[in-house]
Parts: sequence; structure tokens; C-alpha cells
Amino acid sequence: MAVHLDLADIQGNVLVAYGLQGFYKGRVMVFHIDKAESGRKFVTELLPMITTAQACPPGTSPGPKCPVAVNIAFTFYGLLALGVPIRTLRGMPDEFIDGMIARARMLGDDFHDGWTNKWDEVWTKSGLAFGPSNYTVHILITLNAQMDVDTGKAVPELASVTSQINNLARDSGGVTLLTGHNPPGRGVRRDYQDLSLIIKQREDGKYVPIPKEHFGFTDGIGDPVFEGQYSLEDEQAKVKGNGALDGKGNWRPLATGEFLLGYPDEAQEIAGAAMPLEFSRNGTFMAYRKMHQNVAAFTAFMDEKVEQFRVVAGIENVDHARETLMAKMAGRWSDGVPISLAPTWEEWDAFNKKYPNVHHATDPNGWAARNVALANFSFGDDPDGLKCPLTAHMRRVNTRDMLGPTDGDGTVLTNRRRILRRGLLYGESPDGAHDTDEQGVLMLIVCASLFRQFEFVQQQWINYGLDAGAGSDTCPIVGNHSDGAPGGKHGPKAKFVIPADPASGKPPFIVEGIPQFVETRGGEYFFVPSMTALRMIGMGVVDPT
Amino acid sequence: MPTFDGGHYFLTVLVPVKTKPAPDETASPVHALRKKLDMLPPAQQTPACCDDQSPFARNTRNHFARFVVIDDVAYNGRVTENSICLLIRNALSKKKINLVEAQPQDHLTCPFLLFAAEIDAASGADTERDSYLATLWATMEHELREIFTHCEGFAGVNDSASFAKYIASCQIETTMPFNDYYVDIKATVQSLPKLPADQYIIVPGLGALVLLFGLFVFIYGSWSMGFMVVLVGAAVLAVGLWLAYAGLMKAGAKPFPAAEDSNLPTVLKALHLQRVFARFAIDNQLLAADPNSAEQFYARFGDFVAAHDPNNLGVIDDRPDPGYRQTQKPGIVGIFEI
Repeated sequence: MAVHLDLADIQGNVLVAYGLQGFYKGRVMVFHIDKAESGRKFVTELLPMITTAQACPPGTSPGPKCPVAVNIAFTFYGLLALGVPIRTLRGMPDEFIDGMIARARMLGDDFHDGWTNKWDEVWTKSGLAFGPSNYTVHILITLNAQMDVDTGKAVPELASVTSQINNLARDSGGVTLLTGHNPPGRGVRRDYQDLSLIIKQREDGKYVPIPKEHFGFTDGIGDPVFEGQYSLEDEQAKVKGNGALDGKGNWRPLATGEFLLGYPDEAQEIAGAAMPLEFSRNGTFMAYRKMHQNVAAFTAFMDEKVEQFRVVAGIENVDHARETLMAKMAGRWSDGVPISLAPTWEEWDAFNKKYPNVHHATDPNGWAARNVALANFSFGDDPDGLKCPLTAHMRRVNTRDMLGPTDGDGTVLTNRRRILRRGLLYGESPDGAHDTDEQGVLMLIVCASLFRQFEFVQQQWINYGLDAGAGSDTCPIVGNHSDGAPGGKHGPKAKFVIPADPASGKPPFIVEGIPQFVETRGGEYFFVPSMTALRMIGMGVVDPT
Repeated sequence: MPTFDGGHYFLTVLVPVKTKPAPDETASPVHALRKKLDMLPPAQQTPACCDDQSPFARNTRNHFARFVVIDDVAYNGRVTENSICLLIRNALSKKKINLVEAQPQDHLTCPFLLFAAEIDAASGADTERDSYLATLWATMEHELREIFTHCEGFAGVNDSASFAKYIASCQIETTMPFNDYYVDIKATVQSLPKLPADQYIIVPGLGALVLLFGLFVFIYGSWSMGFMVVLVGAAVLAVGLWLAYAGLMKAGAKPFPAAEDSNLPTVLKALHLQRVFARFAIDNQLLAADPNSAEQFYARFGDFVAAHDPNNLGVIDDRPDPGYRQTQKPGIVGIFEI
């Protein structure tokens, strides 16, 4: 029997990447609970505003009924402050109790000495933080808003929902909005973290989003597909390349329990969770990671290295060499075409002729065919990374069929290490933007076990190279890049190897001295409860006995 | 003989720990022992601490070495029985089993210190073990004294020979060694002893045939003659089966050959070469890409080989050559040292 999800009980942001569903704008509000009673009142009064997966089902556009999607999540200390019983909380996982900043070393977020001074102030007080500075984050509220095409700004409802929530917090008598989405003592003290896709104005004056992140790569292509998430029809369309691959080349959706608590997972068991079961079931965990992008450093580095790469790789045209170098680092060409399917500039061109980048409104079939083609590939035929380097960003974060114990095991080892990518961009990166400006990605990573899924990928695959046969090399794009300073704790200068086919007679290209392209600027681990659990938390009736 | 396999000697030792403090001490010996072990450098290699290397890194023979304190054997709980069977048995038998009465439990008379080390060895002879223990005594006598002083029978140990004798007296057989080096599978399979199945089958087969013939004679002919033939057949069958069993066990006891280059000095040299060669490759990649500079590139590689001396492992008497820098030092591999 297939898994049927109770969509009206699950928060909408678990099943849907809002940014791909018409919500191009967003805002983050965080709160501290001073009094348990006030906190519970706040939660109860928020409950009718929370957007479920029923209100915004996957695979559809939001429509006018849902201008702003509202979702909520709690830190461990938030649940404690709300009076959730200790017997329930003792079933919570270690990493969630620790919180993200306590695990920064392991995650590789300690990019340089004094890294906490670069974090947004609001995220730097974690755990119990005794004393007067006890304004630790307890509640996270994410607002995802539709865009007004005439102004390129969020619909006016975003402002009204924001003030409505602020009023609820104030009226509760013991819930405080935490400000400081900026480094301590620097810039304007921001009340909220505002989010937006990159927006451009069309010739007809209307504003439209472009699906790029700040470095210029098309983003949001691959995302895991799990059982119960989509209608059967949509599942069939999306599962190839996004689900689990067996040894015979068939794709199936991943087990629900990898992304929602209370369901069987890829180990064919229902993993333990905080009791009672109805408190955990249909809930999940989320890592909030504000990732700053040093766009100027990225552009300058490409300019610096492209000539060497052009010579070593034997590519005549410097623009082709630049695009190829970027693609080798990312695993996809800048428009999202996987380099595994189109290893050279010419093949890339041919791929785009075969699957042109059409708009889904004008050519739905062509659009669907391109989407399948962008996702449906594996690495089994490229064990040495001659097409897609083993250490390219995309091959690290989703190793597909690369790590099977023996040939023909499909994605068996990777199935337990998948994460849902939610979140949106922030800031703007026009030409001439500085690295000191605000621009980056707000990653919201959703999975049933932050330890087993997110933290493993971050530590072992992004910030280490052993599984890719690359020693201590880190991800060329989002990894922790050592500057090689003598006595520094991260070792020699960061490098990245682009293998060459020995038959070609060309040597591999080794990019050395990669600067830090992406830096964590704050974040935390959250529990994303079901509507049932939210109601129980608000009423104060969580009963683990 | 799994204590020796794949070119490595797997030393396993269980040393009894004292149970009473020495007259001038107050701390329990097992407490003092654990504290000493926690103060050895590798135990302190948490992210917050320490550049010190393990004293075991002073020699070039052990791959891994570890100490573990075993307080007691674990009790797995009552041996379970089918409760219905128990009910019936208790109803029928006079000797009732009372589930409230505890079953006997095993306990150790004292805690034990487990010392286990994997060392390079050519034949697995006792002299190889003793020479390793002598190297340990020569390089870390101070630490060994501080550790084993909490163990029984160490008082008389005062030199490398008596230390080797002491450890040998506490050695137990290693029954499950684990070699983490890639072997040449084809060569290893070829090196396995052939099992001459015909030899193993002929003798017991002959015995079985004689036995069957004897049975036939017993039934249809003379019973006394038949009985004699059956006895002879059974004896031949038993001897044949035992020979086959002994032959198989003997073949199984033959150690696997050593994996190529799996001794510690070679592994250390390989780590060093891997690092410096990566440097060489980065520095010369533009030269390598240009066919016109092949000669220059070739000359640079010659310089590289000359500078890094691939065949010199840099070892004197089981210890790193103090004056030699072209290899990785044993111990924790630092991220900068070349």
C-alpha cells in the first residue's frame, strides 16, 4: 500500500519549494519566548494562519487565495520555553539540542579566526545563554510571498501579515521579536531577513524572476522526490534523476521517512522520535543557513584562472574555457545542463538544441521534456570523473550511483543522505557588487535526521574529499577553502582537480588557491511540527506517557 | 595461526590489573591506570589540544596500538526458556526451576589491561614479537613503566628482555586479524594451497566401500568374517576422515602473503611522495601541457626524483632516521608537514 499523506496536517514548506511555485519573495521573523504561557498563546493564535500542504499543494501555483505562505518552526530551547515536557524533549536528537553554532567546527563553518563576528548577531546567542543576553532564538516564522509584477516587490499582504504577527507577539505579553539580521555593530539593525529571487524588468514593464543564484548558475533543478509527496502522475514525471535508482536503472520515489518523522525510511524502519508519536509524526527538522556569496571574489578568480585552464585543457575560445571551468566546478553548465550529459561546449550546445529552454506556458511538453533531461542522469559511467569531476559541487552533494558497494547497486548508499532544499536568495548582486554587500542564499534544508543527512553531506562530502578519492579537498564552490596560511588549522591552500582523459594526452588541471566563495552568516536547527503538534504545543497538552 | 597474517603480526595481550592500591597510594589501581592512559597524547587529541605525538610514533614498526581496560565480562541476562515448556517440565519433574532464583554469572577476578598492536613481521616468529617489544622498551620505557606498574607481576621487569618475557606470558591467540591493505587478489588466490580433493576422498572412500562390503558379507555370508571386514572398513573411514580434516585445517592455517608495500616505512614514504608529487604536478602543469617543453619537464621530474629519493625509506633500527626528512614521520599526520 502506498503512503498517503494527510496534506492538511503537514506544513506547506516541507513538501513545496515555494520559490519554484510562484512565491518569489520572502521574509524571516524570529522570536524569543519570555513566558511559557505567552508563547503558547502566540502559537495557538498563529495556528489558523499557518499554510499547510493542503493550502498550497505541490505541483500547483498558489493562486490568489494564498498571497503569503506562513510557516513556523522551533529550536530545542524554544520547545523547552513553551513547556513541552522533558520526557518528550529527551527523545530529541543530539544535534538539534546542540544547535548549529555549537556544531560549527564539525560543519566547517569556522572559515577564519573570529568567524562569529561575521555572523548575524541574532544567531550568535545559542543554547541556554544564561544572563542578560539571553535572547536566544526560539521561534522561526517564514513568510513566502507572491510578487506584484508591476512593481517587482512583494504583494502588500506581506506587510499586513508581518504586522499581524507582530501584534500577536506583543499582545501575548511575553514573546519578543529578535532583531539583528546583520553582523554585530555593522550596517542597519535589521528587524527581518528579507528574501527575494533575482528580479528583472521585461520590455513590457512587468517584473519577472530569473532562476539564477548570485554566481550565475541556474538553481533549484534537482530536489529529492519521496513517496506520497506528489500525485502519481507528477511523481512519474519528476522521479527520474530525483528519486532512488535501483541496480537495473529504474527510478522510484525515496521512502517518506527520510523527510517526515513517523514513516518508514530507507532503512525500512520507523526511526525513533520524540514521544508521543503524534507529536513527531508529520513533522521534520530544518537547518536554517544564511550563506553569503563573495560574488566579486568568484568572478575575479575565474578571470584569473581561465587562461591557465584554457592552455592546459586545450580550449581555444576563452569564453568557452570560462564556461567550461565553471561547469567543471559546479557539475552543471550555467543554464543547468548536467556536464555528465554534455561534457564539452559543443555537446552543451547540442543538448540545448535538442531540449530548448522553453517557457512552460507556451510549450508545456517541451518544458517537461527539458526538465526530465536536466535531472535524469547518473555517474556510474564516469568513475574517473572525466566528464563530471568527482569533486564537482553537484556530484558531491548528491553522489547518485557513485558510491554503491559494488557495480549495479544504484543509489543505495546515497538514499540515506538526501536533503530537501527549500529557501530563497537574499540581496542583490549587480555588476560591481562588493563582497561586503549583502548577497547570498538562505538555505532551508529539510530532512528527518539533520545528523545523518544534512550534517553528513556537509562534513563528509562538502568539506572532505575521501569519498571522492580527493583526500582533504573540499567542495570548490561552497566548501571551506583554506588560504594556506602557515600554522592555520585548515591545511594547505584549497585546490580542485579537473581530471583529463589519459587517452587525450592532456594533463589534469589543478586549480590551486581557491578563495572563500561562500561563508555562513548564521543559522540554527529547527523542529518543524505538524499542525497536530502545533495545536498540542499551544494547548500545553503534549503527553508523552 | 591468525596471530600472523598478511605480513603483519597481530599481538593481543591481556594483563591482569592489581586490585588493591600500593601501601603508599590511595587511588584504585584501575583508576590510576585509566588516568595515565587518558594522559597519553593520542587520548588528548581532541580539537582543543595538543601537538604531541603518541610514544608509539617513536618507532617505525607498529601500524596501530591500543590499550583498553576491561573491568569485567558483560552479563547478558538470564538464559531464556520457552515458558510453556518450562511449565510442563516443572509439572512433570521433581526438580523445579524457579525463575526468581538467579542463574550463575561469570565474573573476572580482576580487571585486565588489553594491549593490542599490529606490527610488520616477515614470519610471525616469537623473535619478531620480542624484537618489537625491545624496540618499545628502548623508545618508551618511561611510559611503559607508568602504565604497567598498575598491573600484576611487573615488579621484576627491568630491561627489554624481561619486558618481552612479561608481555609474552600474557599473550593470547588473535583469532580474527584484520588487514586493511589492498592485496593483489589474483596473486593471493594463486598462492593459496591447492586442496588435493582426490587425496582427501580416496582413503575415506575406500574405507566406506570396505565397510559396505563387510555389511554385505555380514548379511549374506559369514557373520564373523563380515564383522571383521566392517571393523577394518570403519577404521579406514575414520582415519581417512581425520586425515582429510587435519589436511584442511593445516592448509587453512597457512598465512596469506603480505600485500605489496604494506609495511609501515613504505606506507609513510608513499604518503610523503603523494604530497610532494601533488605539489610538483601543480607547479609544472603548464609545462606538462606544452609539448615544446617536454625536455624541460622531463628534467624537472628527474630533479624531483633525485630530491625525494623514492627508494630510501629513512629508517634506522626500527626508528625514524633523525637526519632524514624525505618521508612522513610516524604518528598523526599533520596537515602542513612535508
